[in-house]
Amino acid sequence: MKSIHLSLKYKVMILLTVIPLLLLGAYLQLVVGVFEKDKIAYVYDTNSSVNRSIASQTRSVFLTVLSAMKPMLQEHFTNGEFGILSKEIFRNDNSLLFIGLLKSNKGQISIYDHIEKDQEYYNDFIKDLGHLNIILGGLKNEERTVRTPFPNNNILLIESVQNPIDQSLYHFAVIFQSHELTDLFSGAKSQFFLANENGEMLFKNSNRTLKTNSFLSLDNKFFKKIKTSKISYGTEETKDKKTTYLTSYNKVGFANLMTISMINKNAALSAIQILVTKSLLFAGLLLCFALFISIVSSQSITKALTELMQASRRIALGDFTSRVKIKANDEIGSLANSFNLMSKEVGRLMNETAEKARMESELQTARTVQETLFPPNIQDFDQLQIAGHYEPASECGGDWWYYSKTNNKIILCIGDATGHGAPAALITSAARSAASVVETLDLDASKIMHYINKSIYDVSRGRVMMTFFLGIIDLETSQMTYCNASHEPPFLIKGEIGPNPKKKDLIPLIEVNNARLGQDPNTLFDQTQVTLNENDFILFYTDGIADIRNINGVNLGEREFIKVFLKSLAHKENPEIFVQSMTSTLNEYREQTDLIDDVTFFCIKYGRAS
Amino acid sequence: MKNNVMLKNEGDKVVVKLLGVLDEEVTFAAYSLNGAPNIVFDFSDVKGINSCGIREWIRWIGPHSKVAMVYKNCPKIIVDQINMVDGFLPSNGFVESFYVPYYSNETDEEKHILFSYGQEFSENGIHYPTQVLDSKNNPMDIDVIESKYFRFLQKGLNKKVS
Repeated sequence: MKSIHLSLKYKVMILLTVIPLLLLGAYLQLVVGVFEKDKIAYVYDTNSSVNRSIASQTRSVFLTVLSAMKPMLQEHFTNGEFGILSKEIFRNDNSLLFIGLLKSNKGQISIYDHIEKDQEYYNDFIKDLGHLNIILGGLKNEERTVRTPFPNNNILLIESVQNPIDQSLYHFAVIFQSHELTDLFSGAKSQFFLANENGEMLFKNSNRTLKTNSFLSLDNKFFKKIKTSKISYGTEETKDKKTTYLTSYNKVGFANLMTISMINKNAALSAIQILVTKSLLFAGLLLCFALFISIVSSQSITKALTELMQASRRIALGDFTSRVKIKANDEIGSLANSFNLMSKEVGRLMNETAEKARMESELQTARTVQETLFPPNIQDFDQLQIAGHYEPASECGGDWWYYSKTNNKIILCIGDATGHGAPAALITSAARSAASVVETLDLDASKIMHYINKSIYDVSRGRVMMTFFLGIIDLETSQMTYCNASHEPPFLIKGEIGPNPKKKDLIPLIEVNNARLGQDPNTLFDQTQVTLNENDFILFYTDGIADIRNINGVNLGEREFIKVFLKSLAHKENPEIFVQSMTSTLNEYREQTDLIDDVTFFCIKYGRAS
Repeated sequence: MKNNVMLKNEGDKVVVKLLGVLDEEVTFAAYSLNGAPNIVFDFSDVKGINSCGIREWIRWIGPHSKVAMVYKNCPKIIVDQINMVDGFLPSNGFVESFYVPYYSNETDEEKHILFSYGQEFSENGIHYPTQVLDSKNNPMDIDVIESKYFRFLQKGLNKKVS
């Protein structure tokens, strides 16, 4: 018996757990991918939009400050100092903290004139003057730069201007404070930066994770790219050493300023992490549930199958009473039902086979016994030669032929019981028994028929009958007395007929005929006589010959039977060869097809053997 | 159960049409012939009969010895039984018509010619048809051993019942 390597239980468990996990994994990957793309697009879109708005506001703030300064600058260029107008404007505008006109002399920046609200702002400005030398050195006419060098987010705006009177280049510096810009960029919730042309962060939220003050230190390539780009806004993913940002920028359109937003990508996509975490948690739960279901279901399936397998093994060992008790209403239950039916049917067939074997054995025994009812196939009584052939359609036959010699009389008989098989064979046995008794008595044919008829009737009570032909040849008188109980009349061929007789030469012995044996116990049988001459030939037969079928199911029929008979009569001088010829021709026609009815015939040749 | 028998009342007679193969499965006993003054058996559709069928037939018609029975359209297999089996045609039975097989050695053709009482046969003997021809106008031979096949006519078994 084949051993089990991987139990069906484990196969079901694997199937029920791996497939959902694989599907869930694939689904998660797909969803995360789509979600991430969508989220990034959303972040970019939102930040770009806000960036544009903030850039616009920033530009507005600087332009407002610059427009307020224009009259002051004009007054200074006209009068050589900040006059009453300038001071009035400065005093009325609270956001203005310091105004200075700087002039470069041999690479050194000096304050040419100034107005301040507080000495502190002047000091701050002076403190950073060295740094300004570097910045303003490259600043051309009408170019601007913005700085926030002060700790309190005050803004330094410097514009290079040419004095229209003496054509010398001045730098007009304004320190001002802007709550609007502070709120925009330094608010606790802001994630936007204002950067100047050098990448310095003018405003940033101190709570943000971005610790540096310069974008140059963050992503040099990115900043250089957007600085030189003619496109006023854009988005890009940037990286520092550890962090990836979703970055968008928008040029302010004033002093090469630009607003930049940088969102930590991981933070932006934190919802995905939540999704993944929850999905993994769900997958874990699903796995547990699938495992539980698979264990329960696989156990119910494998338990039933194991039971079926064990029952099959019991059947293989010959226990056909083995049944399985499975109450499931599914395919397994149906299989169990079919198995039980099969087991029952196999048991029944085995019993039938055993019974059939027993009956066949008994029938074989009966056949062996029945064969003793028949005389030898060939006999030479000196004055009469006999040869015969008998083949039953099944183990036992209903045909019977017989001969015996008592004194100078030879009894010949042939019969055919109704049907064939065991019941018919029993009737032949009764006929044989009766014949054994009467053959020793010196009785005429009709009397012998009477006794055999009575014997058969007593045995069968009219249920089985027998056609029967009886002839008694008196060797002294050459007379054959015969009776017929509805049997096929034998054919007589006179001896003077040559070796090629025709159909018209056949003389059927039809002078008398009575009811079949076993039909009526009181039947009186007529008898008649026919004189036999030297070389006269008689064929006795049963109707089974005409019923022989070939492989196409076509009966031999009477015409072909007569043809075979006439052909075989070429050997009528030797009954044994005649029978061999008949048998051979009939077998050629039959080609081993099963017989429909028993086939029996015998012939006699009267006179001494030639 | 095979249905081999069809009964039909036609005036003062019962016409019994027999069909197919008459064997051990045929149940003649299910069809009562009691009370019928005349019975006509039509054998034209009988295809075969075996020894069990013969036994059942004789059991069926045997008790009706006072009833005039007419056999018509008897095929060869029935004529063979009439000739061979005592009682198949009872003493009160009369063969009104029967088929005689003819055979052509030239074309292998078979024909079954209906012999009817008063035409092809009567109490005076058999009046063979002048000539039976095959499809190529060759004369056909009677395909039976005549003495055996016409035994029931020659031995006086076929007596017309008035």
